[in-house]
Order: sequence, then C-alpha cells, then structure tokens
Amino acid sequence: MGSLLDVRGLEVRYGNIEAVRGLSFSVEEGSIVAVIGANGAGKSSTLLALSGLVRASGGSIRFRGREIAALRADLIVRAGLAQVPEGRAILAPLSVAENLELGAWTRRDAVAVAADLERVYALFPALAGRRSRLAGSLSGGEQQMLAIGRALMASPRLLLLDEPSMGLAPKLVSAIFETLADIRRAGTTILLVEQNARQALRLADRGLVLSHGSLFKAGPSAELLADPAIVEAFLGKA
Amino acid sequence: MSGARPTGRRAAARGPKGPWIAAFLIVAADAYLCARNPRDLDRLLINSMLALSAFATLHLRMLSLASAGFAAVGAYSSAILAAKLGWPVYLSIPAAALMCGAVALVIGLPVLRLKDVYLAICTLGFGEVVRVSIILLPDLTGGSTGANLSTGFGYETMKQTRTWALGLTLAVLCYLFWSASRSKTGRALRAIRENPEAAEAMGIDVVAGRNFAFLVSALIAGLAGAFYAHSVGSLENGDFRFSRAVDILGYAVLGGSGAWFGPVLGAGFLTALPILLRDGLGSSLGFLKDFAQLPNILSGLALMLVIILAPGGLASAFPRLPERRRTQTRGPRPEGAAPAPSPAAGPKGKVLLSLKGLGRSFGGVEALADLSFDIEEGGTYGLIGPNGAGKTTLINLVSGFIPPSYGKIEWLGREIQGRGACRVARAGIARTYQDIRLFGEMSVLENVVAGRHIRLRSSLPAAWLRLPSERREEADASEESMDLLDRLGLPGLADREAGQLSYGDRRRVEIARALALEPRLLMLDEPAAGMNERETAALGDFIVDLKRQGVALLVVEHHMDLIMEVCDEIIVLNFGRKIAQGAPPEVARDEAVLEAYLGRD
Repeated sequence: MGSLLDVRGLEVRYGNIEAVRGLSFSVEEGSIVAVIGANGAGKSSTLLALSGLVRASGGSIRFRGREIAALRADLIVRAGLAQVPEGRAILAPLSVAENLELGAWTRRDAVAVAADLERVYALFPALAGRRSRLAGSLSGGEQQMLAIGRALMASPRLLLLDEPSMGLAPKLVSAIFETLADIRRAGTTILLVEQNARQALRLADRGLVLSHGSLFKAGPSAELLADPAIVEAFLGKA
Repeated sequence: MSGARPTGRRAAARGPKGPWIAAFLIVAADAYLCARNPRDLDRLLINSMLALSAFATLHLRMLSLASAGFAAVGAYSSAILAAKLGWPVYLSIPAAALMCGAVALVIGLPVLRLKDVYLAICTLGFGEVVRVSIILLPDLTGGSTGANLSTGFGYETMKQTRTWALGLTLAVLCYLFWSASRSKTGRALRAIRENPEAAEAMGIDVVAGRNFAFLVSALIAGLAGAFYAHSVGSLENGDFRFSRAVDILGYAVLGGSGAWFGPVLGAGFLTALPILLRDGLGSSLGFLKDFAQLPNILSGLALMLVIILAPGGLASAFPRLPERRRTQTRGPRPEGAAPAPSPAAGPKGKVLLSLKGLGRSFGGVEALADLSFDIEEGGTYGLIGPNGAGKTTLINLVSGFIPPSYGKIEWLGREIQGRGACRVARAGIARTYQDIRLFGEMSVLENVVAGRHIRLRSSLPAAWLRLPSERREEADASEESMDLLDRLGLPGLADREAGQLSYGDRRRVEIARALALEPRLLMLDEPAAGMNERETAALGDFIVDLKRQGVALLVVEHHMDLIMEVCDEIIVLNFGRKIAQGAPPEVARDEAVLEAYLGRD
C-alpha cells in the first residue's frame, strides 16, 4: 500500500505496432515522477493509457487501490486523475474562464470549484487578466498555463503532463517548472513526460527512462542525472 | 531508431478477410441479379458510373450533390441531339458529356467557393434548376410528359450494343481512376483531401484541383445520364429528382471516398439489395404483400448497418498497399552521391528575400509592425522572441498564407506579397508548421513524394498511358524521397501511416517533405519542439548539413543551444517589433533581449 498509482505489465498497441510493452512502475503520493526517453519510446502512449484516452491492451493500472485500466476516460477524471495533453488542446473558440470552468465539469461542489478557480488565477496571474479573452488568441505560453489550469480545475490527486515545456520560450519554461513545484507543494502528485529531460529530472523525485516501449531504468532522479549511460543516451551534453 | 519494428507491408499481407468476403457477396449478388434480368445490368453499370461521378468530388471532401443534375443535362442533351437533330446515338453520348463539362466550368466558378453543407445545398439547387428548366422547355424536352427516344439514327445498332458500350466505358473509367490514383495527380488530390493548406504549401494548386474534380464529376455524370436515356428509351422529368441525387451520394459514401473502387462496390450493393429484397420477399412471403414498403425499410436498415460497421466506407476496410518502390533495401549511400559541400557555408551576399516595412494586424491587434530585414543566399537566420511575438505570423506572411496589412516582401527582387501560398512554394520557398500538418492518412513515403510535386513533370495523360518516362520519374521520386528519410533518420518508417508516428518523428517527416520541394529558402517553425536534447543535437547537425548545400534557412526555435550553434544571424521579435538583430554572441549579450526573452540567471 502507499502507492497512489501502481502500473503492472502495461501494454499499448496500435494495430500491430507495440508502443508500450510490459511496463511496470509506481508513483508515490506527493511525489513528482518524470518520464523521459527518445521519440517513439512510448511515453505519450503510457499517459494516454493511464487517462483512458487509449485502451491498454494488457496489464493493470491501479489508482488509489482501484483498477482503472478498463474505465471510461471521464470516470477516470472523476476518480481523481487528470491529464494536460500534448500540444495543449485548449478549446480555442471558448474564453479563458469557460475553458477553466469546463475543467471542473465532473465536480458538483460549486463553492470549492470557485475557490479552485481563484487558486488557478493566483497560480497563473497572466490568465487572471485575460478571463474573457478567447483561448485561441492567447500566446503559446499562456495556452500552456491554461491547459494546466484546466486540468487542475478537476481537482486531481494525480496530474499527468505531456511535454508542458514544448514550444515555450526559455523564460517561460523555467516559470512553468516552478509552477509545477508549487502545485506539488499544494498536495497534487505529478507524473510528467518531458523532452527537456535534464530540467525535468532536476524537478522530479524519481525518473523513469523508457526505451522502445519498456522500462530502461528507474530510480531517484539525482542518480539518473549522475548515471553516465543515461547522460550519454538521453541527456546529451550539459 | 525503429528499424526493428514491423512495417506496414506485413500488415497488408496479413489483412482482414471481412472486406474481401463483403466484396465477393456484392459481386455475386449483382451477377445473380443481372443473369436473371439483363436490364438490371444496364442499371448497375449506370449506377456505378454515377458513383464514380460522386466519388470524384467526395474524394476531395467536396460535398457535391450535382451529379443527378449533370446526369439530367447529359440525358436530355443526348436525347435532343439524337432524336431531334438526327445525330448518331454514339456521337450524341460524348457530346452530351462535353456539354455537362461546359456547364460545370461555368457553375463551378461561383459554386466551388462554398464548402461542406453550403456546397451541398447549392448543388442541390442546381439540380432543381435543371429539373424545372426541363419542364419549362416542353418543345425541346417534352416537358413534364417526358421525351421518347425510340427513333433516331443508329438507334437499332445502339439497342444491340448498348450494354457492351456501357461496360466498356465503365471499364475505361475504372482504368483511368486506377492509373490516376497511382500518379502524381492522384497523390496531389489525396494531399488536398488530407490537408488543403499543407498541399498549397507544397505548390499544389488546390483551387485547380477542386475545379478539376468537379469537371470530372460532371463529365462522368453526363456520360451516365446519356447512356441512361438510351437504355430506358424514354425520359421522364422525375428520373432526376432530388432523391436521386441523395442515392448517388449514398453509393459513394457507402463505398468510401478514399479509393475509387469503393463507390463501384457501393453502387453494386445499393443497386442489388432493394431489388433482391423485393423479389425475394415478394415471392417467398406472399402474405407480406400488404407491406409493400418492407423491402425499402430493410434496405435502408442494411445501409445503416454497413455504415455503422465501416464508417469510412467499404473501401476503407481494405488494407492499403504500401507505396511501390523500385528498390526495397538500400545499401549505404556511396560517398560520391552526397551533395558536394560548398567550400564556405554561410551567407553569400546575394539577397534572396527582402522584407520592407512589413506589418500585419488582426482585428486591431498589431501582430507584426514595420519589420525589415534581408535573407541572403545560403545564410541561416534564427528568429526568436517570446511566445506571441509574431514569429509564426511572419512565416505565414512570407509563405503567402496571409497577406500583409502593409509593406513589401521581395523574392529575388520581385514583390510576392499577396501572391498566394501555391505560387510562393513554386518560387522555391518551403515551410514547416508549428502544429505539424502532415497528410495523416497517407504513408510517410507518400507524404515526402507529395513534397516533390512541383519537381515532377509528367502529365496525367502520361500516367494514363503508363509511359515509361512517367514510371521512371515516379520511381526516381520515391528513391529520392527514401534518401531524404534516410538522412533524417527515418528509413524504417517509410510505409507507416504518417498520422500514427510519435510527435518528434512527425516533425522530421514534415522537414523531409518540405525539403523534397528542393527549396532555396526553408522556414522551420519550431523544428525541435518535442525532441529531447540528443535528438535536438542531431537536428542541429542536419541543419548544418543543409547549410553546406546552400539552402537558406529561417529557423524559429526556443532551444537556444540549437539557435546559437547553427545561425549566422539572429533576429529578435517582441510584441511584433524587431528589438535586436545580429550575430549570435552579440544578441546573447543584448540587454533588451535578456530582458524580454532569455531571462537572467
């Protein structure tokens, strides 16, 4: 007991292509876990299987002790697991406030939702000043904040992020990572897929290194950052 | 990286059996039907032709319902030519088709600007105009009482050979569709189907493609209508009513708009089913006579069932054959084949592109203001700045997707602003997209070959005749495209469907596709997004390689290591304005740039 998320032997297939092959790992409550690896290693597929957007073709996913591998995506959100999708996927023709309110679609506790809304605006002041702007008119960085804010509005126990730093200016990348640290401090567990591997590992407690759909290595991120094989294969020169 | 993965080829060999069984059942049902009543064979062949007519437009995702209207024009034109003017019947049929083609060119001009349901309603309106015109011209058409055609020169010969002529015409049409689908034109049309905007950036003329599809649709509907007139022997105004237009679209939707053979199967299914149901139920279950509509209800339900089971149509259930290639396995490229690196990479002093006081606003917001700079041949330029600074807007302006609000864009000294993306691409400017726009349902190799579109010279007739020059050009294009995929580290993925690849691989395919155009200027919009440090470094090496070949580059990127490593010059934008320009080390020290973009650590 103790693990918030427990994944055993996860498999994801697209037709006859095996994207994830027998992946096992767990995520402790209150931690940040970074998933790194080359393109096509199965990182995004793993997240999609966890949030139910792609069906796992094998293995088990236990979240808070409950099997969710066969659960519908919206029920998984209700169970407390929300995803920030790759490429943001904000609802461009809706306003910032509408995007955020839709993030709380599964919740009935109006008072707590209103409080969370203010919490998101406090976390991302740039959004607070643009509540009625159309989401599509935001810059890339603001859209990423909106996508994270929207996922937080579901009040998740576990937040999944797929490449939150993609397409962001260097200043903003640091800002987003700092925000993730704040979110964890507020009690939300984070599973993060990042190509910006070095920065992600510095933020995370543990790292998972994927290669060809399987776990290549897992461990405390400080160890991974110091491992010459990992540095050589995945991090490149500092 | 992924060389060990199974390729699409094996998947194709294993493919599901369901669609083949369905196709066999349809053919068998039609064979039974026609053996029983030869008249049904005419009907089947004509419906198949009409299905191809609907396919021609639906393939480009144009929801046209004009086929019934064109068939009416074809039928009455041929009838009038043969019965009233005494033309030989077999001359009146192609003449009627040409008549339809002429009508299509005229009404296509205004109508094809419309999309989706608007196009559907407008083309339905066209059908009504034709129908009512027929009623209003009784002297010519027989008006609402109909026209009788059992006279006319060559009528007797026609009666005996009609079915053969129909079958032959349909066979020729199928051949033309098949050979076109394997040619440059077919690929360009698929590209328009998948993503018109990206197709435009490959130099594919989307407007011409849509007009061509509409013309082909009209010509075939005209042929079908003319054959129909002579097959039935008399025309009634109701033959081409509204519901007929929907039937014809039904053939193509049920059959699938992805491949030409689908609609023919769809027509086979929807022609045979109601007749067989009616006859079968009528004879074996006599007591159902009171429920005369039952067969129609059942065939409607069957149509629903098939569409639910195969939402993309029958054709989509068949495995797609991978792009054919002359050489399957390739050895390492001989050293000599690599493009000779020019001695000094970097700007050559000759100005390729010149921006002069360029500006663009969106609804009062100035996305780009008074921007001027030059791009020299062979130079690599970095374009950086905070998110929302106007970098992508600049790429959209230069590539012709949006016109500037003011200012000039000069390419080799000639103004190109407002020329449209297709012509800009043909001038030698290629681009990639921040939000990757591949032709998702085409294979990786096909995507890259589509990028070569403007470099391929063979015409559509050459593909129809399968001239050796056309075959060779296609084989060479595949081979060159395989080379590009090799260079970008993607050789094992050639047969995969592009939409299935991981994010970083999709980016690399898009770069390969843009390079296939052999551009003099390549604009990359965040090429390293979604790549890790190692892959970014490999991309940097690749860009350096491109520089050596003399391709000018404009790179929008947030990975500063990459920008610093490859660029000769960096332009920094903030709130739509240029705040700095210069060599990488200067820009990296610039106070304004540190403040706005890089941040201070």
